[in-house]
Amino acid sequence: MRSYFLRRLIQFIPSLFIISIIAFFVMRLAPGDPIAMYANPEKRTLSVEEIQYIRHKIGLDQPIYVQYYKWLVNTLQGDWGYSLQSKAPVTKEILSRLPNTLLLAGCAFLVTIFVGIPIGVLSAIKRYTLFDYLSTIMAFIGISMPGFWLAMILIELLSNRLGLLPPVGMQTFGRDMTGFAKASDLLLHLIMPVLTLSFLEMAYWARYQRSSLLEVLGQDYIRTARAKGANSRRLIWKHAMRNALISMVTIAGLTLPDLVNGSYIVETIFGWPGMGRLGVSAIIQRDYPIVMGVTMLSALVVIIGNFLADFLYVLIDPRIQQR
Amino acid sequence: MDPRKSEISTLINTITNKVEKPSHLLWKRFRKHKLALFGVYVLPLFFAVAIFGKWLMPYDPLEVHPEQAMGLPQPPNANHLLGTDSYGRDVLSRLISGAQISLSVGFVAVGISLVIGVVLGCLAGFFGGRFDVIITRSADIFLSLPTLFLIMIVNSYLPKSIYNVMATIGVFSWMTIMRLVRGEILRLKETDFISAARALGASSIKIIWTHLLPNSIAPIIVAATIAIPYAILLESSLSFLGLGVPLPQASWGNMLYESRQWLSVAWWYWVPPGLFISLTVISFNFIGDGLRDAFDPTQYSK
Repeated sequence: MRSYFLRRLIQFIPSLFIISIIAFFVMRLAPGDPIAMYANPEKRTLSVEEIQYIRHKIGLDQPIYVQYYKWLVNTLQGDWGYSLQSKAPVTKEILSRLPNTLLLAGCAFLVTIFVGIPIGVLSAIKRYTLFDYLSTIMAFIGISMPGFWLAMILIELLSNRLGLLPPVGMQTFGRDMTGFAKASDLLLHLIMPVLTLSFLEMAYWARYQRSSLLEVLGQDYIRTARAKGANSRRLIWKHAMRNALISMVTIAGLTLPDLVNGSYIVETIFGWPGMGRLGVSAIIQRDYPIVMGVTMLSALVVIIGNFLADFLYVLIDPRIQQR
Repeated sequence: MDPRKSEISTLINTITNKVEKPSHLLWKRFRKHKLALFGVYVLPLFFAVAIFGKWLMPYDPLEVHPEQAMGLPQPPNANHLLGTDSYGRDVLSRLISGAQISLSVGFVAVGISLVIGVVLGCLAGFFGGRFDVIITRSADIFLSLPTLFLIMIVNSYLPKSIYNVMATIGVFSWMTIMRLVRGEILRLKETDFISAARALGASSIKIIWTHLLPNSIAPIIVAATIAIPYAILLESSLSFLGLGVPLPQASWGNMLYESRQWLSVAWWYWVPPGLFISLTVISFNFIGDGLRDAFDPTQYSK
């Protein structure tokens, strides 16, 4: 067991390495000078010498592989560089936004589980009923509807028309709140982003839960349990769900990367001050130290997600590791 | 008439009646999937719109009329069935041109990932050994990439064009198809008819091309059908963030990007593109689901 996990852990290193190479080289080999972009021509134009000096100071005048090597060494030592935009350390910029993203993604994950699984179970039990058909169609809509369009509909209906929810941000500006008032304000701001982020995932979870439960319900031991007179609630929750949940673990691992991917768009639309929005605006402003930081962190999340899925899988079903 | 002869002929008849052509059987199973039929009816409409778009567009989608719009999107009227945007461009024409963009991005991107996936899958599955190790390992690495973010990065640094969008989406999504092809080839490689082909002296390429690939076509088709809507969604997300199809060229995604600021003002500007993306994507998903059921009767009978 331990050697299996060690092997899996070691496999992450080349992944992270290659991700960093792709991102780094794409950004540095691309045309367009980040320094020129940050020189504000309205204040005063930077002279050629000044630009040269800044380039030299940041190390942009060195060959790219030297730059990469320096970046690698610094990053491994915990120095992720400084944002070109805010001049603050990348680690600080990212760490200050990480909790917001975790809050958003965590809520979306909980909503996904507590809505997706029951819907899946219900539509498996009530197969071929109206409920099953409706949930199937809803699931397809969830998979097919672009999240940003759903967000636009929600904002228009719930904020602009009905005025129920705040359209953007994490808290109401200009109001000093503490305790309960602050928490409920945050909750109101959370509703639409969480709904948007979890809609797609709920659809996946409901579909997979339905098919995995149906598969288990077709097995002989379920028929035996039924023949021995187990009542159907006990049958489903005690006997069937245990096995049906095994395959759900894989989905859980895949959900993490999806939530990261979704956070870029959802945070951008709802003005949520998280990592996703930071990353997108850094890409647009060519703030490459930030882009590198966000890339590496989101790669880490994806990898951890995959690893967790495998880990839980082996934990639940020990037959797997013998492969 | 010899009674035995008639017996034989009825037997032949029943056999020939019972045994249907595989394609017919496939269609029969596919037809039972009501949602897939929805896709079969809706998708050709979009194809037609995209193909005959040139003649269907009432206006040039790039033609601006600032004097008519006066900086505001204008509501639908007799001249512009779906109104205009804030530059006075006809929304309907832009929608039609967006259909061309979205569908072509979907098909070309998946085409690219199909070519890469099938070639690498064949190499890995058929020749095995070092090829297999390198290819499967790189697929693992690619699968652990934060794909959306990397595509965003690459597209923001490449010159803005629709071809780069197609290429990046294709290059970052070949892994599923590769794994599928590899698995199919590994499964088929040891069967008797392949040994027979080999004994008859068929070359590796011939075996792959005439025996292995045709026999693994079903899962490839299903995977490609499911990959197309994914590529379309990816393109629209990129365009929505301003990193995809460059303006003023119209794509459904960048129409939503532009219409975001007119949310309460101009429903005709942001509702139709989103609806069209959703309808196209859901049709592909329905068809993919139907195909999977039709190709895999064991699962269907459950």
